[in-house]
Amino acid sequence: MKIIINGKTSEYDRQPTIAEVVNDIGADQKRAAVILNEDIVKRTEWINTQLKDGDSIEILVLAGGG
Amino acid sequence: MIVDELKLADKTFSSRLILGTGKFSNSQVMIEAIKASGTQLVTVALRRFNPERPTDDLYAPLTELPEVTVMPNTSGAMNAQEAVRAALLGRELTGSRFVKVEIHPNPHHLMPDAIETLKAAEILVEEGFAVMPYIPPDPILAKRLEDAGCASVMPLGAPIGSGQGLTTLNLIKLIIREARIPVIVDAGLRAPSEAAAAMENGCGAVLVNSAVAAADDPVMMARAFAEAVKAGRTAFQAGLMPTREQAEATSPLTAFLNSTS
Repeated sequence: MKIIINGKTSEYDRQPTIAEVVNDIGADQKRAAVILNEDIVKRTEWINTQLKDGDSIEILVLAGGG
Repeated sequence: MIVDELKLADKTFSSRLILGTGKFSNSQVMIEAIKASGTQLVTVALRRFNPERPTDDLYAPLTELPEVTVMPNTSGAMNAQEAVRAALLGRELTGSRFVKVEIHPNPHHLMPDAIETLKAAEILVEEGFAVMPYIPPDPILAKRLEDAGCASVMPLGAPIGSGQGLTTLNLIKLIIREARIPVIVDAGLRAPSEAAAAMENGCGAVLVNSAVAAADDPVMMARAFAEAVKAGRTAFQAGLMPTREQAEATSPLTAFLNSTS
């Protein structure tokens, strides 16, 4: 199945949870925030939320800004 | 001794200089500049995690500064809905109640969208945020945002990153005249003297980013801005002398020096 992660399409041979995807791209769970298909998903829900084919996930962190 | 603290929502700050964290060459310089500035409030942005650049993530550097309050901005948002989403994400990431609402859809001048900013501010105040909106220097808009429950208003001095200086002082003075929340000049400043001028005229605080980060020596410049903000605030409290069209001597014009004939 295909998932769009931060704008890039990725192939998965299973249905990963948000927690797994965050881990897979190398982000630190404590330092990231997630949007799944337009909705913000709280960190406590990542382990319970499974992604479907075609889902779009944004994994965001803090960056410099004015 | 009168304690002169900056009050924003339910927090008080002894520093009236706020620093942006963008454009620094590396996070070590950023940390040193923040320390040198004495600031207790910094802005941050949100961006996609990039596995090729994991050190762009400010989370770790910011934990070195536990006394500094982190305020996410909504930079990148093109409208109120996106700004609200960015604010909620920022709160997820930082736990902070503070949010700088900035909505600037035009990349040439980065001027804030007043209408979307007011919409976003009203929603975010309802959601319990301490809203700090980045605005054009419009006294009517400023009053609406104050009435909506914002913690401050942040009128621009000049376009973001332009270094054009405090070009909007006359209009900012109109805002200060009627504001009952702090008026914080944000954007466009270049020199510490401009920060001092803003404070002398009654601004509650000043926010700079490029002026420090893009200086030849950001750490030194951060120190200069800290001193300028303090000088300007003290001058404001001291009360500047009146201006006159006619000269008034400060020494007695003593007749004995004149020739007697």
